[in-house]
Amino acid sequence: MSCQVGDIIVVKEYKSQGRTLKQHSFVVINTDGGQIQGLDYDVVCNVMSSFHSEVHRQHKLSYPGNFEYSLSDEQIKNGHGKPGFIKADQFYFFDLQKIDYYVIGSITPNLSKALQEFVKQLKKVEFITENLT
Amino acid sequence: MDEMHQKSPIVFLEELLGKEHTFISSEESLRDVVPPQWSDDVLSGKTKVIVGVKDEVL
Repeated sequence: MSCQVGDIIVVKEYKSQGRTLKQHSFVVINTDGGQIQGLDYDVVCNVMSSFHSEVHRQHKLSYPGNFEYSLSDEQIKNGHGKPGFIKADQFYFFDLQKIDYYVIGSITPNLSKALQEFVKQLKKVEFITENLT
Repeated sequence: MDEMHQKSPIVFLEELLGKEHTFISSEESLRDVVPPQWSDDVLSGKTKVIVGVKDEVL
């Protein structure tokens, strides 16, 4: 299996500090591959999250790194019925051989461009590389 | 290739490395994440999710 830039993937499970994390959704933002901290990676992704209430939404959007990806069902086809956000300041480096994942859809080129512009203005970012070790 | 896919990265690694960056754990990152609950049709591959911007025709 492979994935492409703009794909939405669900990582069924992967190991983190001895624990197994399950069923998280990510947007693939880079498939060039390479090395970080001397470790090989295949793709870079941002994690997706839902809002569970309007209060939660307001709270999450007060953080500069959270990028809202839909305001209503009109912007998400076959979705989950709730608006959500992408944690655009946190970047997961994955070795595809080490994760169990599948592609469930994609973001449009317009949303890709909006995400790209959003990331450009961020001053600080965070990297997650645990999957590579 | 599906027309929804793009070949060019949304973000380049060089751009990220040029920003102030720190390494954090998955647990720290995922602590406040509410995983989207996709439908059975999506999870089974019967239908695909497409996420766009406001006023975009999907």
